[in-house]
Amino acid sequence: MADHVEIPLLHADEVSIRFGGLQALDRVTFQVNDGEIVGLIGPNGAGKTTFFNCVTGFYTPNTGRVYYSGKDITDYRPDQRVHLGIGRTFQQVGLVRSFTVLENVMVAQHQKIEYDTGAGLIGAPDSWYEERLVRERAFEVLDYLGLLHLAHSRLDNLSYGTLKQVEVAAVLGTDPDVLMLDEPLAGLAPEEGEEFGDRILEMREELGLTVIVIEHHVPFMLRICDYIYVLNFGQLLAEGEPAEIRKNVAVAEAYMGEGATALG
Amino acid sequence: MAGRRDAVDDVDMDVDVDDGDDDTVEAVAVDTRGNGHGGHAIVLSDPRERWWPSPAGVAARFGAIAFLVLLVLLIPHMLPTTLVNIAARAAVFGIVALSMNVLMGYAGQVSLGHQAFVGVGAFTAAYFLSESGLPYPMALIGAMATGAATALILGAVALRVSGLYLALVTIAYGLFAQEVIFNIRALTGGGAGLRAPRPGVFDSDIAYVYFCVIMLAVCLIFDWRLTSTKAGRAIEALRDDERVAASWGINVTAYKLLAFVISGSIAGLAGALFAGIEQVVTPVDFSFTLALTFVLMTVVGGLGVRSGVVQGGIFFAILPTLLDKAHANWHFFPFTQFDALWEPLIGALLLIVTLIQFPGGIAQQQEHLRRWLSFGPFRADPIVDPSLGTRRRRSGRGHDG
Repeated sequence: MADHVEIPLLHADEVSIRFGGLQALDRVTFQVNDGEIVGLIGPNGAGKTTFFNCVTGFYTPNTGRVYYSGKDITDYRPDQRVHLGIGRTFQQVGLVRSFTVLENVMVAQHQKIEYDTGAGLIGAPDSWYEERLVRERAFEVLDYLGLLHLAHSRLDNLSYGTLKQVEVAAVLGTDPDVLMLDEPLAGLAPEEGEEFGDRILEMREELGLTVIVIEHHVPFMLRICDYIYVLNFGQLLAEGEPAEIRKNVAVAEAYMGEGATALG
Repeated sequence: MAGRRDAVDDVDMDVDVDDGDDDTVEAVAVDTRGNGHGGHAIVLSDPRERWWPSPAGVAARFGAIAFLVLLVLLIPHMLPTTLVNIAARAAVFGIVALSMNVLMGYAGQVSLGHQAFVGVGAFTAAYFLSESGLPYPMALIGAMATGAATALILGAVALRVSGLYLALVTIAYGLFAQEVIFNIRALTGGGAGLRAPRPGVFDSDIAYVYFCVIMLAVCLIFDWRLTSTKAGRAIEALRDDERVAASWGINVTAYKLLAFVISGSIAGLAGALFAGIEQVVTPVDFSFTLALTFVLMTVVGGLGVRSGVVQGGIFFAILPTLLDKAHANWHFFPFTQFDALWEPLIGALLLIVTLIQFPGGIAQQQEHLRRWLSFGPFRADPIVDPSLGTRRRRSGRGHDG
């Protein structure tokens, strides 16, 4: 699995981006194969979220290309990449604050809706029918993540950890092939985090998802990931299977300071 | 009532307090899943099911709606003949408020130049009717098209600037339209204005009120479909956060422009109807103060809620007449010599009260009623209930502060 022989589903080739004097990413090469769960770890400010933004189109890299199923998507807009099947969450909760939980999952299905925008405006029959499906699908997704009872809640009433879960529900609403999670465990209690790890593994099996996850919680990452990339100061410090990363001295030093010999 | 929030056990007893129609709620559960301060919302046991009132409740709601409809239909007949045009003006302002609402309420874009869209629609309709001799429906469509086209230009600007800068651009656009475009003699007749005949069937004052009310109803239905389908949801999502909207596959640029186009075409329609009230359009009808009135009535009405903004529009449409009547009939009416000041003063006071006390405007205060009339329970949205902290409904851009 680590050999990356077939065409990777997602491939970032020597991606670099600079903000003023800061080299946020420096020739980062990254590959994910279909069905893998790949982790991205590194200290704060290592460029993990910046890398997510480059892959999802919110930033355009200065040099380097991003490929999806072999297709160069470097110049695609974020919403076009969603159409291809790249879904992401944000480090700060990416939800529409004035909507209920249900409405968030409904609006997230935007690009799956087949009726024409204009047809919806004039109340064409297929728009009525499909709106009902959209609503049902939203309930299904919420049910799948165990959030059904919160469907009509306003976001202001929910805790941070719950919001992160709702955000995952919304992204599932976009029907992604690749799910990119930015610190999904933030705000969750340890046992809830464990549960969410099981949920990710389950989603890969049941929904055929490929997952890229940024998370600081190393034991969690070592447990669920097939392959891990380590970023430090915008550069790829190490990559490998969890067992290798755990033993990597450079990684341990980057995380815990000099003299450390192993993670976890 | 505090018990409703405190314990699940109390809920069954408390439900009936609100109104007699609540008894169809079979199992009411308070969300007790440990979300800290969460759990205000009373939800049905299965959130997938829609709450329906009892048959008596349905009848009561139908009755109330029928009464309101009847009231609207009878008002033109109850007014003295000299005041019938005010009713038409109220309906037109309601349409303008819906147009403002699409831009300010749904898309979160400021427009201080809306009188220009309305004016462009009015002059287009008048020109098509009196100069080109086109049939009335064509004039209406033409007015909507020019309103949409001018709004699209402004929308292209809005893609580059936002907030205060966009407000300045819209002011500049409004003044430009007022001073330059509306004074092109060949198109607008200059200071003398253009004649704008009414459609044949609706020629009398009362009939024209009905025509405007029908158009208002059409716009309300359109607005309802907008918010219930993907376009409206996308526009509201990008208002809150463009990045999040984009991450859900929404083409932010396209939907922002769509909001401008929809708003502009509704404003153009309102302009065409406005032209028919006095049956003559002059450039002085579309001054900057009108743009301010449009903003005031939308904010006071309640950004993002169509029933609220329409009422705001109606109120500000009849306000000058109300004040005139007050001057004429109440000799004790204070400071009669400053009568010109009253309208902006009242508007400004209402705006301040709204912003401080009820950010959701008229709509916020009527939330119970609105829910009840749309066949829901007679209960405020938790977020609107001031005792629960956050006050905003869909009006705000995210959190307070």
